[in-house]
Amino acid sequence: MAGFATRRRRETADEELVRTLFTEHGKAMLAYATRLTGDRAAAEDVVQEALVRAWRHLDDLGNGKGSVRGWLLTVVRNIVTDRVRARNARPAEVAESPTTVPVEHDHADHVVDTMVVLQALDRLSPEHRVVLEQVYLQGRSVAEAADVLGIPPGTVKSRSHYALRALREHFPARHLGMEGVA
Amino acid sequence: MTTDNHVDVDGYVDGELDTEQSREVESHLAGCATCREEVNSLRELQSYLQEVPPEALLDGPPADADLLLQRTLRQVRQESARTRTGRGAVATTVSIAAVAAVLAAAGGVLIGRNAGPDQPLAVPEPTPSASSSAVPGTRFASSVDPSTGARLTVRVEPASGFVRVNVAVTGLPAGEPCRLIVVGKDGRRETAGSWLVSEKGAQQGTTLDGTALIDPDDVTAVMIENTSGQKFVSTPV
Repeated sequence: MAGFATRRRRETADEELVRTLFTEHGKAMLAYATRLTGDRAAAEDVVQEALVRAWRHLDDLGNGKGSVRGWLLTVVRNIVTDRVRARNARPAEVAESPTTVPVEHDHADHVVDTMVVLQALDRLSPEHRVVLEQVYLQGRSVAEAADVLGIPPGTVKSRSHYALRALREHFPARHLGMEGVA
Repeated sequence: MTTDNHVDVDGYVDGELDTEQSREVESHLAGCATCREEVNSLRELQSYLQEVPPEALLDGPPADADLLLQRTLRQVRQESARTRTGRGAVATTVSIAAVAAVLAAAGGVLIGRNAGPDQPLAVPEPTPSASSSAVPGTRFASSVDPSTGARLTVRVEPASGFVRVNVAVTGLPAGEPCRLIVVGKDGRRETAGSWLVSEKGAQQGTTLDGTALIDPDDVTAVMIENTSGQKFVSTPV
């Protein structure tokens, strides 16, 4: 049967894809989903759905449109957001604990942002990237970041200044300069 | 930096200045468009960075989540079985090419994030096998430029009146601002995308998607050149 070998190959490739995504990004996805939902079981459902969506939308996820991780984390957040909305839209459902999930009203912007930022970070030198990750993503103070990285606080500061400008160089122009001085 | 001699923009943006110093900076900003733009641009970048969840920095598989993986794989298996009976063989071939491309991209991005260059790396590449044409008329081509050593693999997929291109390119020097160019029969050139070759892109290769407004039948070549027009690699399609 001509189709059989092809079919086997596809199933293997599908599973390999999902397994690869899980192995590389699973921890980040589950941790993020757990924080947003406050519930490990619900978070696992969200991660499962996000991985299946990734597999269904390979073209969006793939090359050139942003980092795979940015895509996956954004999808995790969107799924959580949509579930909260759906639950809130349902009338008269009682005994529901007030959700702590920040509902974004427009997730389209964020899809681009997270993907673009992670992709731009990837292009920085490790020294620059690590400083920005500590200071901005982890929200550490200069002193804390200096401690974690084992470099003087002054170096954290100057490096973060250079790194921010280096990051700007790697940002697609269309994502900057729209700030308007509101 | 043009703002070096003006005021402490970095200190201001980081919120490190005292009231007096901040006031000085602000009165300077009121009259200096350059510094104002610098402050706005840096603040915008900061806000983008702050929006990225810290979990983005975690790597690897989650602990104690094997059941989750098994459940997910089962769902994928079931859905792909349904798709197969529902949509037939065309869906099958689409998937192989796309899965291969994504695996390559996922590997590239991820390995790139954490591993040093000494680790074996999957160079992202579209899968130019005859059986994996996503759309009828999709063409694959690959060339190595003997002088630059750059290698370009392309997939050109016809759309109505234009083409979608997916390329994997290796061997470009880091720091080069590059363009992906689709060449038409009459010599017409359309830029399908542009980017800056990163360190990692130089080491591991880069995959890109783009589109070009050239009739699918008229596409004759795809090439990579830098913004000053130096050609790195070109492949006839």
